Amino acid sequence: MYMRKILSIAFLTLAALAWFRAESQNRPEPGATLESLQVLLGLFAESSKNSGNLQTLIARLESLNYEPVVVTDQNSDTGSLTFVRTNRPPLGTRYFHAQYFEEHRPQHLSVEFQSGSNALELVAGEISRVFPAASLVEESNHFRKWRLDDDYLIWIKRLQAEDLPTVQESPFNAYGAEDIGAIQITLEESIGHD
Amino acid sequence: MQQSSSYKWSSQSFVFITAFFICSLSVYADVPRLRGYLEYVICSPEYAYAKAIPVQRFDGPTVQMKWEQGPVFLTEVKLKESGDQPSLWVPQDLLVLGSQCPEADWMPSAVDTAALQPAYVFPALQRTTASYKTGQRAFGARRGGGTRSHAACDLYRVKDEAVVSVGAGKIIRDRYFFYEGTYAIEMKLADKRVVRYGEVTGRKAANVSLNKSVKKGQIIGYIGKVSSNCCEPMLHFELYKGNLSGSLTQSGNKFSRRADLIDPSKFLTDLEKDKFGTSY
Repeated sequence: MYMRKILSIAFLTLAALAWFRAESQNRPEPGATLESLQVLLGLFAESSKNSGNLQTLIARLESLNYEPVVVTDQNSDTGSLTFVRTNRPPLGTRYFHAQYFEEHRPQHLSVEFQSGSNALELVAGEISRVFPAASLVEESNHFRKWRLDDDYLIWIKRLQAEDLPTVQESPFNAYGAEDIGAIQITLEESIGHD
Repeated sequence: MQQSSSYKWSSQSFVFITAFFICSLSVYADVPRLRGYLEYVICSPEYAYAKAIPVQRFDGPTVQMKWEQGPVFLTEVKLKESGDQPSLWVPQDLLVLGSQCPEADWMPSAVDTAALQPAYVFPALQRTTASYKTGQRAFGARRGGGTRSHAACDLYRVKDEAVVSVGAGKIIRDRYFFYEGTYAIEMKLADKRVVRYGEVTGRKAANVSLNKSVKKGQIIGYIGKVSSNCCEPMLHFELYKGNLSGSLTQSGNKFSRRADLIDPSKFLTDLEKDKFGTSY
């Protein structure tokens, strides 16, 4: 008899906790978006330094309660590629994405920041603050690129209407017309045309 | 009476301690390392095992709960390649990685060895708009102010034009972020060489996915363009002997690539002559 009571109380407690969690996830906290950006750029900075290995990143995302998802794609020819995403991005950001070919250094880190009248300038200012040694190598109305060191670049791009058909082909992120103006932020290994 | 109240108190404590313990476990448990490609599927015949992308919004995660003989958590998704179609809400526990839903035909397909005959074709549909053997497009061209060398031949073409497989083989790595908003696909040829098709768009070509065999000349991707204004739309073509294993991007040499990287210029020139009767 007591056991049934205990079990039903336990069930109700857990259901209430789950309900509260779902509800609290949907409740925005105004003013938290700049802080979210600062935390994520801080994570980018840590990860692109020697100390920033994959396990450290996962632990940091977990401690921040972002609910990391880790998926490793492995084959016998070109080794492993580990993706890290988060199920619970901080307010004002979304689509955190990391790729690691080697556990000790990321190949790619990206996230998106919400649109706003001066969102590109806001993000650019935070990048200059978090990466004081970064040198700006390209600038246009909707795009900026900085060289961080010999190994990494960081670039930001304001999503334009003409970009929609391309980004809607993304295998990882979903987009709609309401996303025009969002800021893509990417830190990646310098393996390209620079 | 006193005994009974103390018993009640301790049973309530037990419930709350147990609930707290379960919640703590969920917070501190190690993040599991899943296997497979980062692609989700709605694992239910009701949804035709559709491929989907979880939607994230800037003002918070997209989770809802409804009550159907108990709590059911729903998550917002967009079906892949649905463009501007509205998103839909599906039960959270049905949205899994493709590798966790064998019913959805996500298991690696057997390679059709009969189709794997060594024969090759130029990867672009038309002649490139500039030589891939000169300037910044050439293999070995300076990069990073001289700290690196270019690891590929850049085949300038038109954005969104198809890229075809140079030979029969198998997709060993599906699309991943490569450089400035473009993607890469890795393929093993029947002769064991490995090709990385870089700077393609995220668009999925029909019948191309991880571990699937592809035929010579089959469309495997589409020409992309990087976010900056540095260059024209192109295919960045890397070729490896295939006698080593491990990541294709590696530090330790001037190309920042695996040591079995080879110059694809001659290979491409021969294919270009075969296809167009002339070459750069």
